[in-house]
Amino acid sequence: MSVTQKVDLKFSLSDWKDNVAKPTWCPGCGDYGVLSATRKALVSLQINPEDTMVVSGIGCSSNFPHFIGSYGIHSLHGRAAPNAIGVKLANPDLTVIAAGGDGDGFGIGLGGFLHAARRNFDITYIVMDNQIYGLTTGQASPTSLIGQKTKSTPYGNIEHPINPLASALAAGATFVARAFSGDGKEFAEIMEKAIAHKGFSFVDALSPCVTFNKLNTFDYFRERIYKLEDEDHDPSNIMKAYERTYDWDHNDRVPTGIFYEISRPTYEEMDVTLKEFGNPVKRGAIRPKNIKDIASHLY
Amino acid sequence: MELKPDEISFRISGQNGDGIFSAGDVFAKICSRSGLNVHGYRSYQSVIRGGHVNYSVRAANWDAKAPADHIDVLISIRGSGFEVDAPHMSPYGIILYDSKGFRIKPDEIKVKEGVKAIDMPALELASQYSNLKIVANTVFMGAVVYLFDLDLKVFENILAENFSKKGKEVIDLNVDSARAGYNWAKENVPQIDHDVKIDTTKPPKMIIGGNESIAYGMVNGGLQYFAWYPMTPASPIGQFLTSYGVKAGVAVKQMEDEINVSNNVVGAAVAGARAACATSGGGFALMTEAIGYASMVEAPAVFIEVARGGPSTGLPTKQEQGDLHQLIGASQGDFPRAIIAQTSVEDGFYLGQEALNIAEKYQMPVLIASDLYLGEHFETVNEFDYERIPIERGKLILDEVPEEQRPYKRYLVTDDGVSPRTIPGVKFGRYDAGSDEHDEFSRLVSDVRAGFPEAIEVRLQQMKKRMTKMDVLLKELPAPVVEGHSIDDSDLLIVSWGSQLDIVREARAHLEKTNNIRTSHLHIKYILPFHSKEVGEILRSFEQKGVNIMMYEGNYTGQMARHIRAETGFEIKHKYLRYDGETVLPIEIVKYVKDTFGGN
Ligand SMILES: Cc1ncc(C[n+]2csc(CCOP(=O)(O)OP(=O)(O)O)c2C)c(N)n1
Ligand code: SF4
Ligand SMILES: [Mg+2]
Repeated sequence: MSVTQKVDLKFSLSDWKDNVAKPTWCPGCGDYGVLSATRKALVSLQINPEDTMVVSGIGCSSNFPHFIGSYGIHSLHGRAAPNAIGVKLANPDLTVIAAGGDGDGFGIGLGGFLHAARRNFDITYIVMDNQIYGLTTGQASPTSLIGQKTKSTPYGNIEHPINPLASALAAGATFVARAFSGDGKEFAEIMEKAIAHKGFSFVDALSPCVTFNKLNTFDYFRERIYKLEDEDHDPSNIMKAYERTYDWDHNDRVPTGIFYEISRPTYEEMDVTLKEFGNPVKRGAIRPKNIKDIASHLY
Repeated sequence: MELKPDEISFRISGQNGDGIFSAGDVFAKICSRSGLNVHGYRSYQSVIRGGHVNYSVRAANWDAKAPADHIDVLISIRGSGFEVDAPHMSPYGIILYDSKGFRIKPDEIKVKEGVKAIDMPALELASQYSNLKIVANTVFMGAVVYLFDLDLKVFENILAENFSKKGKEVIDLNVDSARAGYNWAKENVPQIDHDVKIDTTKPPKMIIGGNESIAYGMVNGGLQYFAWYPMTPASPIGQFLTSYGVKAGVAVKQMEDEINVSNNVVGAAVAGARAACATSGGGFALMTEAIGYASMVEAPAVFIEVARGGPSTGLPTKQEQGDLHQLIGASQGDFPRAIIAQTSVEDGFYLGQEALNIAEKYQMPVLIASDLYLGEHFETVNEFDYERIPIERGKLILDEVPEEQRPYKRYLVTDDGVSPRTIPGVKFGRYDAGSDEHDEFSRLVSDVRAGFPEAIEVRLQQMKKRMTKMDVLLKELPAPVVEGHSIDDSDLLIVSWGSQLDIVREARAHLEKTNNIRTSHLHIKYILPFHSKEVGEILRSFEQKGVNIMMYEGNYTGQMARHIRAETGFEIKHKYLRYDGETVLPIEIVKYVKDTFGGN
């Protein structure tokens, strides 16, 4: 379904766009591209905004839920993932998207990110990776490159950057992709697949901070980017996927597209309570009929 | 002995791995199935093997709800029992041990005058039926059943139940061992003389711990979601819910740390689940940021804090009421939340439901203050009233926002500060639960709008709206009342809080009976919002009457006394403060009172 045929659609772009705050990002910020690609993907998938929860942490990028017409949680710095899986386990019928920054997801929130990935909750986690702490005005982040000068690394960054894609693979994510904010078309396609994927989808979004990161700019990426699908990458092969995640480090080439995708049962499908009783929120807060039975061992 | 005691008191001690806790559980069950009220608690250490652990059980026809002051019968599996437990024997007490079976040396055996230490060949007797060392416990327990003149058949039935999965052979060898112990004692040891009436025909009462009771109460209160990360002494709450709560529809999630436990629970609460979590001091420290967050987004969530000995990792398996200030100080800024202390095992069942109701009605976090003693000791309880507390979800919209309320304002200003709340899936109800300051529509005012006159107005409006909930809630909460002697008739007012309610009650009964000291008791349960006016009036009126006033609590600095002073301006001068980590015995409070205020 093409996103331009708005007329026939039950949910159109305006459902995701109107009645929400206007983005407050700096002009030219990469996050605009992420937002519009995400909205397009949601329209393409004909997802109901009222059945969707977008959860973020804190940072420039984490203002995201305020700009998208679904329910939202703008939680604490680094806490998008644990909030999102709380939402999903409480009401597994919702479409849950977690969104945030690289500091949010790979710094303060790294634990939550990796554990959400390994548990394979059916959520989509998108990190607007600008390799800098934007909101706090330009300190080094876990993905800042070696040598980069920032407010917290005035003599150049001496810490090896984390490889978010390899980390997600190692943690057990079942969908791992990278998208570039400067390529809206490919981005929307990747987002569509990520949201449609049943299980934990991770999208590392190259989303330049035009104000505080003068190294990893739109041009920086345009010079280095290539598409995995143009090079016959097999996304079912995890070792090949790992190899591709190191292209940037090793070969100064930055691949975008789907690195890895497999199918594995989701957490919600396996949880004992959900299997037996279904959706907790839809079931309601009720006095259990078997309340006495569950305490029979106490006599 | 002039009067026969109207209670029986038993302890078994040994190393971790000696089966002490299962033996204690069995004895508690024998007592409850004999128609008795039971109180039990364990003392243990932060190791898996070795060390010294014990399990104390007290039983009576009356409602025994505090630890016994003395031990009538002690099974000392190891020599260490003579050092740790034997000093607490009652003057007519009996200690059973097996010097040969468990290699206890003669010079280890020390007892007070009057106490009988009896070397029982438990392991040798057990070896007729099994070569498992643990079976010696069954032999010992058989002897204990005889010593208290309990019904051996009751013990045999429990053995049959406990080993039902292992088959007839195992049941038989245990029953035979129990009989061997019973008969050996009959021939070799005089019984304990007591005045406790055994009735094995009454239906037994439930035996439940303070942690389990609050967990069970929450399940009855419609709990839908629980998250946890293991930490002593809060783990039994998660353990209960993950074993039994799931059978009643509770979704339970073990998380990677307490920061994410707390955030996970807020996420579930925003999504519409009745949600709770539980931890102890260190874990609670990690949850603090999320408590303010829950309050800011007006998400209902219950945070249970089962304190242990601090500071830091502290005394993980020991008692303290040392986290009160942490609870009060948790999270930055001024924000509404309730802090309520659990006051007894039975109270836990109702408090679990009340906490969920308050959380949802006021759309705020509710913090429960419990502690190791309360959480980990157990009692027989009267049949719970399952219908006493209805499930109240407050202003919750579950299907569609009514037309007159559109466009929907999640943080609508109202008289009681509580706004109608939607959850995802509700039509026309979308909003963003934002931890930044926001307006009625849930739009940010922390970024581009901050500092503009309109945003300043919003800030003031939303702060007042949120804080109003504290005033409204205070009116709903019952003010504390003084129990015991009235002000005109009292020698001493004892102030205490939380877990220590029944221990103080028993100390007071003791003071009255044996020392003729008439006491009154002010016990604090609702900590925030606080009944400053009522508590202040009580304290001042007792002072004006010339009645002595003392604080008793389990920490070094007198945290509740300071809270009371902060809230009322009243300083309680006499303080009995305990921070040694041990379970406080009523007799110890009695001693403090006599030493401080005189008395015979
Ligand atoms: C617990 C906590 N620590 C620190 C901060 C301050 N803080 C806000 S955003 C941020 C970093 C944001 O960087 P990133 O997540 O990469 O988002 P960006 O602004 O770059 O989109 C920090 C450190 C905070 N809000 N909370
Ligand atoms: S500071 Fe950087 S990340 Fe933040 S809005 Fe501006 S350009 Fe975007
Ligand atoms: Mg960033």
